[in-house]
Amino acid sequence: MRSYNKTLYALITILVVYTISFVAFILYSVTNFAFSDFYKRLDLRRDLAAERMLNGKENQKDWSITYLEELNNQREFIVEFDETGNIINNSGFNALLWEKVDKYGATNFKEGNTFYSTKLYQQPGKSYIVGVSAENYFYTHHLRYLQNLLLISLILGVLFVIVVSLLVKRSFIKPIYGIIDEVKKIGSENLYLRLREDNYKGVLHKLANTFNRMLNRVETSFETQKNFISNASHELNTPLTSIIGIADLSLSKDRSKEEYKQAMQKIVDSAENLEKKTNALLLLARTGYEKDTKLNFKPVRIDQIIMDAEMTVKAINERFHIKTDFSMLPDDSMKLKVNGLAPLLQLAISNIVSNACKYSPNHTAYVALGAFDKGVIILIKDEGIGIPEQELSYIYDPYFRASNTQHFSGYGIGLPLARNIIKMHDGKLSVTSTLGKGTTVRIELPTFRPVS
Amino acid sequence: MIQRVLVPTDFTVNSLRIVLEYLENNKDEQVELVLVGGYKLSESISMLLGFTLDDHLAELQHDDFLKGCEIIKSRFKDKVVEMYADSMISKNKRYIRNYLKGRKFTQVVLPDAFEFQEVENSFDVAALLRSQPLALPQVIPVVMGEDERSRHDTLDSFFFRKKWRFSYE
Repeated sequence: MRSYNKTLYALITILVVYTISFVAFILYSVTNFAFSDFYKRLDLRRDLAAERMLNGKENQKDWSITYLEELNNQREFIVEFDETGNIINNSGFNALLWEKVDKYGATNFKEGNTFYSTKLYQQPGKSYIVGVSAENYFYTHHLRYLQNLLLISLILGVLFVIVVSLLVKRSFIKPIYGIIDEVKKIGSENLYLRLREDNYKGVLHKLANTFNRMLNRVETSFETQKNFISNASHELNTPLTSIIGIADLSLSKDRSKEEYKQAMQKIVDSAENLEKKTNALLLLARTGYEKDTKLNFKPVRIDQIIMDAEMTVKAINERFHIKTDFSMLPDDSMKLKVNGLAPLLQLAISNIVSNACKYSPNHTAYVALGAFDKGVIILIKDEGIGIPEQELSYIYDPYFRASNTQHFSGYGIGLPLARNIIKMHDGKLSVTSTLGKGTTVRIELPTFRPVS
Repeated sequence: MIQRVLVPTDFTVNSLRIVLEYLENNKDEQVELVLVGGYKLSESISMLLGFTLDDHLAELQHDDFLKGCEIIKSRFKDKVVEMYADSMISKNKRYIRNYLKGRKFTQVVLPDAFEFQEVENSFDVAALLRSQPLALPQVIPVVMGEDERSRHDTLDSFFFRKKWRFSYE
């Protein structure tokens, strides 16, 4: 804010300096003009006076008065002087000003409000200085008036500049204070609050929008971190249950070597799955939502990921059915490549698919995939219990469970986690639902574009 | 030869099913698809001066509709040479005849049963073409079948249609 003020004061100073120099320039030019014009008029009168005095045309005085206007306090004088410059005869000239007179040519000078024009005239053996003096009415009256006028307008102008600048400053700063106040209200306990973008215009609108986007990222990152333990336990529980189940089953009675081998293989598979999930979750926790270069994103085929996710879901619960509609797969398989981490995407999709199966009486999820110009669309649809309309806005909150899910097991972690993962991949996840009829989850992910 | 095909539409994702039905059943020939919606221009002076087809079409085609078109284009990349929207702006018989002739359509797709969504000033192009005693270009009828599944997402209708292939179950 201090540097903001500094800039403002610098601007005011520049404006004031400009105004002052502008005024000074006007005054100088007009004065200059008034002087030179008046001297020109004096010169003319001096020449006429010299003609009259030295060439014996004294009775022609009327002529000059007829055609030339008499100046204010106009007086003519003639001074005769010797070779050393001493005055011999003086008619009406103030001898005190003798120093200012050029004895070898023409001079113009000013003493008080009186202007003088003198010139040397020589006759055999004699030297004269002939001159005319007069008061400059324009200088003494009009120019003074102009001077006062300019001074007043200068003061008013400076005041105007300062007042306007301060008003502009206030109107600039006010909305910024508004943003500051709004941002101050947002803390860790109410990270869901957002700035009201519509209240601001232009750059400030963009600023508010940027703040909100940043808050989105912070909120997601915050939630991810906060719920890491519950996320992890939810995700790690499933393969662990499967490992314990297989081990229990194989230990329940004596079995052949082959059967033990098979059981061990299944356990190893599940353990590997567990390891993958642990790594993925650790990565998620470490990086949050923020897309970081450390995340080793690679181009992956989304159809492959969907199929893997389905395998995972079926492995978790055999009663779950998944019907896949790949009829809209693009001809060009490059369009199915997205930039991402396969284990994370698989985790997100399998979470949604298993939710779809879980909340449907027929335990069936319908999955479809298509590619548009800039990305792929995955639809995961069920004909299950649906989500009450008024609760749709809360479904991304961790731990939130809709009011109609009491008879289903779950922690309310799967969807937020999936959404975080999709957001990490610059994608979008949206849910539409009709209570009692079913739910559709739409995932959009940008297609991988090789850097050319 | 590339066929220029008129496909009636109401600019909803659901109406793209007509395109899909047509593309899935037509032979392997290249097509240029023109999705035509009906829009009755009002006779006010402001409409006469201010109406531009591009703006009108841009307003009608929502994001999901455009995405649907892109999905179709990438699905039938080899078949669909081009795909764009257009509007018929009158029900006048001469206009229709000139429209079909001027745009040089070689095929017209007419769905057997499809309820077009009505918005202000819109009209059903398929019904109009069917009712006109005009010499239409080659008419390709498509069977739409029942649309039973409940829809939540607008793109739902696009996927999960009848006869959909299960690649994996």
